[in-house]
Amino acid sequence: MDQSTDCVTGTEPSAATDLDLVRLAQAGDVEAFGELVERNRRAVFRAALACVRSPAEADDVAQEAFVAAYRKLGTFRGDAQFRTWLLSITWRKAIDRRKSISRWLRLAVTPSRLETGEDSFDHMERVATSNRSQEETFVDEELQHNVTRLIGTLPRKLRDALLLAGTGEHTYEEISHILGAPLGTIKWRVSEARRVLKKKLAALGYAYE
Amino acid sequence: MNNEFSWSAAREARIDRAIDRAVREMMQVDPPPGLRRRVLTRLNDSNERRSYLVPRYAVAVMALVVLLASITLMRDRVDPPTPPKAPVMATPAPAPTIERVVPTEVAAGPAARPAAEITRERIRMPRVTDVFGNRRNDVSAATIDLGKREIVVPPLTIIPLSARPIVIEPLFLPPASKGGM
Repeated sequence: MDQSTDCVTGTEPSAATDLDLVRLAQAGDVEAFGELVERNRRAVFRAALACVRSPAEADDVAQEAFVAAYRKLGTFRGDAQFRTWLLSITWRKAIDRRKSISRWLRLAVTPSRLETGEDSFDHMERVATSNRSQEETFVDEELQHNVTRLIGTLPRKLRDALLLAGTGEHTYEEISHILGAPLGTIKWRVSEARRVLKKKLAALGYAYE
Repeated sequence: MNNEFSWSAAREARIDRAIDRAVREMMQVDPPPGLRRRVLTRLNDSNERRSYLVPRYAVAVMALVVLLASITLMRDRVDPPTPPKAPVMATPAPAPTIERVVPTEVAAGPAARPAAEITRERIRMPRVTDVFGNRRNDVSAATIDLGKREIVVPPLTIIPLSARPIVIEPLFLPPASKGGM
């Protein structure tokens, strides 16, 4: 059993490993697949969120990814981890969604605040640290707002790596597999994303050098 | 110097924290509850849909095959469009003359022509060097209606010019004033 997975999902640990559940699901046990969904739902959702940056769309993408994974279960041979395989499917679905014409049209009709990051998160669902004092929050509010906005202006490759690394769900190895880039490249992209952000913040007057 | 360094480090740490916090708040969002139920519902729905979609797919594939086959066959038979209203060009050699072709068309009118403008048979385009035929002795415009009516030219009469006397009016000059000019 992958203990870390259980810690992530917060579900009651079961004796079956992911691979056991996959075998059961391949044999037609839908409930076994349901258990796999439960175990990986957060990682899948957050990977999708890193790509589409809208919780509602990420939920759609997560569902599509799970359905697609169920259909493709026959092709899963167990060479890689189920979770990594599932995340790759999720990322492809999310990229499809990001590129879809309907999404662009929807964003054009109802201008989203994705770029400012204001509607990306349901404030009720935030897992942000709640022990910050109000004073701290107010002091950093403007800086926070600018950082969120500037993340939206990063080049996609840098932004994807930065956001995936920030989910708290994915290791660099997993991100490397998801994005199909070498591990060193992923680390460089995260570092570069931060450097670019700081440079842009410096241009706004938040000097750090 | 030391103070400046620590101040700069503090600012950088603050920006680092802001970046970390922004990314965390963007990403550390929990999925809406009930994802498992929704996924299983979709799986059940899609399984049911698949069962009756299979024959529909088969019909769609068959239709596509028929369409492709017909397009392939049609492509072999598609000919270049006939040249528009060019009876002289369409008539095989020798090159036709105006007298033979034009009156027939005028008499028959456009309604009497074959209904289909585009023929499916391949037309051999004759090599016409003298497009308008031998018109060395013809007057082209006048000969179109030659078969229907004659052109009556009234006889030419020459009217002689009449001689008119030229009358010159007497010239009147007013008396010149003193110190003129």
